[in-house]
Amino acid sequence: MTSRSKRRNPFLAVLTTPSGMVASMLLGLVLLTAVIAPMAFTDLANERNVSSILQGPSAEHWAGTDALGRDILLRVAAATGFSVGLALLATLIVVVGGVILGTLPLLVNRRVGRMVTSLINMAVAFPGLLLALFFAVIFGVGTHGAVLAIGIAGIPAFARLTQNLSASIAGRDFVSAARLAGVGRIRLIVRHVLPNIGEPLMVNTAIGAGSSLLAFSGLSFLGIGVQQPDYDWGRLLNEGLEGIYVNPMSAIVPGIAIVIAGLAFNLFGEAAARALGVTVPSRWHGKTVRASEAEDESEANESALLSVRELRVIFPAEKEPVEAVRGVSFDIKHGEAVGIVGESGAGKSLTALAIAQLVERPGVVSAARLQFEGKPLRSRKDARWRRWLGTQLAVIFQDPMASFTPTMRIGRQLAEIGEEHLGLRRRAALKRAVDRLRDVRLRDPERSAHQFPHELSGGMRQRAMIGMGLMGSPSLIVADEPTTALDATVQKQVLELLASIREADGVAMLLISHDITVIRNVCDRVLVMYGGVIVEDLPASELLTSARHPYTRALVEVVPDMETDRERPLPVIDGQAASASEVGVGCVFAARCPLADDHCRQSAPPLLDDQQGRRVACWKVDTPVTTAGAAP
Amino acid sequence: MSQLQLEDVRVTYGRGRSAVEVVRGVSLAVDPGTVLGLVGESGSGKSTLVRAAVGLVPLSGGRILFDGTPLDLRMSRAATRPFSMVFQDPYSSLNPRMRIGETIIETLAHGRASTRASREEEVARLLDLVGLEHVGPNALPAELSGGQRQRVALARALAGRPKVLIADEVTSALDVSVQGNVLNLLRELQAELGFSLVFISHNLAVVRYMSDTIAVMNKGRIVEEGPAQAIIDSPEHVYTAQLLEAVPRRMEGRVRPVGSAVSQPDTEEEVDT
Repeated sequence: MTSRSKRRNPFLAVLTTPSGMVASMLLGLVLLTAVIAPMAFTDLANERNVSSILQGPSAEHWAGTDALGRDILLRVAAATGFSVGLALLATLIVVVGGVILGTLPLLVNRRVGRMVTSLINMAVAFPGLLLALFFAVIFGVGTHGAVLAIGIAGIPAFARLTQNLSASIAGRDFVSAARLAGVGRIRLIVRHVLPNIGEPLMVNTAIGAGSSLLAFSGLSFLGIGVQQPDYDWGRLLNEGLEGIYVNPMSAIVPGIAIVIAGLAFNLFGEAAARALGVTVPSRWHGKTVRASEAEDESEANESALLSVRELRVIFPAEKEPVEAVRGVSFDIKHGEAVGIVGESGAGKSLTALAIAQLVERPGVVSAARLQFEGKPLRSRKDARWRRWLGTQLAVIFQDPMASFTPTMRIGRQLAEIGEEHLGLRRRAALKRAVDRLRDVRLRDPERSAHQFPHELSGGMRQRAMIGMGLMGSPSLIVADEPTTALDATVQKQVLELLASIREADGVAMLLISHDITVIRNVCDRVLVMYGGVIVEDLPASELLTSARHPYTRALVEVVPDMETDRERPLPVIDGQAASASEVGVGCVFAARCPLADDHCRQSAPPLLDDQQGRRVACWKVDTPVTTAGAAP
Repeated sequence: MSQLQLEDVRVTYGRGRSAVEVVRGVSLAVDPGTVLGLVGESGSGKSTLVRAAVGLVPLSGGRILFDGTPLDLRMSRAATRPFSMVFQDPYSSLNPRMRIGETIIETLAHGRASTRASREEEVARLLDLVGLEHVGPNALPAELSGGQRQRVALARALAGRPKVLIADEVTSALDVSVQGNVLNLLRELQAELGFSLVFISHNLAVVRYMSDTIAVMNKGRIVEEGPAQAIIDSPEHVYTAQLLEAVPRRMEGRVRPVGSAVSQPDTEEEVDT
């Protein structure tokens, strides 16, 4: 499921988290002090008083006085403006320089771009503080020199960040489209690239400002930053250190100021970075929804291999939990191939994942019954049960690359299943792995077993994945879009392979696909899902001829095939596929159904069994659709 | 005379020893107002070929002619080409930070419409054309569904009043119930506005439905080209036949299990020209 929820402004989102709130308040306090304190206290802080030199803390001077009798606390407060201001100035240099250098590879031709990139990479290799010291010496001791030094020393890291981020955006199609439209390179960067990388850049700017502040204080402390009679926190720390045995507060107070301001910038940046990520609302989290745990024995079907009743998958959401699968019931007999067909958001993949016990948090699965070979399939802690299940139930995913560990040889990964679930010795397991790779018709199984996943083609990888499922002796294969990522010719081979495995071993199969032709050609029975429920259950052979639900009939019609009339527009289904969060009280398909009336919109039709193995959920069953084919 | 003509077009990625020729001398012609379907599997080079034609990828050989005139091969001259393109993934082809009206205007600004009022009028006309009149130019891509986004991408492509429109897998990221709407719209617009269309897809049934002529691409070469129905009815190249065979037919029975003998392992590796 893709989340299309609108992203809020991350800097507003920061305020809603507890740590973000503290960081924002702290940062606000620092910035406020930086503006007000210099105006209010500068004169007082510079007031010399020869009668009270190097005094300790007292009621009059809370942090004592320095060698000229000036109040240390007032001086630290007054220095806030200078310290923070210079840090921000240096940060400005970092950001402007970094963004220009980082986007330069997009502006110039390839060869120059590559040179700029390697230049940045080389500069990043030097530690920032070392660079700052180096530049400080070059630019000369003093405030200007220090600002330039810290600014320039920070540029490479920021440039690299900008470059990485902008390179990923520059590869997107909307940039290609803009280029095709003749948009100039500068405008391309300003309008298309920068707005899309702004958030991470701003977060890093905040963190960078904290680092600049620390670096600046460091330089001043070393005596190559701010020079007398000016003073910042680093300078004050330096002066305070001389009198630390007389008055410890003279060093501690500027130190604390540096720590607080540095922390404020860094914490704010970190909090913003966290707010950028997707957050799970905490209120609902962890509150497990439990349906009737009591196993529903009413219609126990002894012959069923898999028996599912009232299966629900629920996800927490901002307002109320979204029920992505809303009460699905079906059986699979031994050796039967059942297909689930549906569009995105129909809940078909989640149904499969729920059966395979693979729904990840924060998703919650509940069911009145979920039985496999007569035993409840709930995630038991029992290791022996899990091991047994691993040999009985195989799962095949759409993307085999993501299912294999990229750094392990194929044979080893298969063998591991044999060792783990079958208790085989290492040698025997590897032999079985090679046998299985031969079974799935890899040309040279011994060689393939020694290859890494990326060395196989997509089709071969998918076969290896199927071979992995066959390491045990499964009685059910759950395949979630197993051929969607494959080319048509390869898809055919993989489907043939699955068919021959079924024929040889009598394995049952649950095949999930959005492609109705795949389902029709492979399965005995089809479950049509829409909006989280099963709307029709019928034999695959009758899909084209006698589907009864308007959605099923439309789904058959809308997909062009080799016999589609080229002279006429394709029949269409108006509107958008329902998403689980929008489903109302009535029939899930009512909003797009040409037959829907008020009754359909107000009450959901039950999934009725005709006692001959077909089920359909529709109030208008068998009413001819007259408006089909009318384009909008 | 052909409107768009590719002559021995070659594209090479990488250089030196690691160079790979992805498009290996393709010659194609598109007649004015017709639809050329380009079909091939992943890695066949079909997307690279059209990206080279519009100037997004530099050619390493050959030339591209429009109305008989060779086009500048330097990629920076993309703006001068009378082609536009609709991309596969509508979630990636629209700038998430730009309102859809701005996205369309950006293409217009470099074309004819000059005054602000005339630009806004043109945007409204284009949105109306693709059936998005109720959405309005101020919508952000995030507010739209996949099908609606693809309509915006189509409006943007039409804004430059292209002579040749290239549609690269425009429905493969969409749900099947939405696919029909986009295909119908594309066909209607092509018939109404009379541009030439290069329609790229891996789905032979969709290509057959959309195209007047079909070119089959495999491993960087065109292996067969001809009138759509002729290619479907009597393919001459073995690869075309394989592609056709892999498409499930309406009246065909179930997928048959492969024989117990290891008959044709890994044919995907063996298919060659």
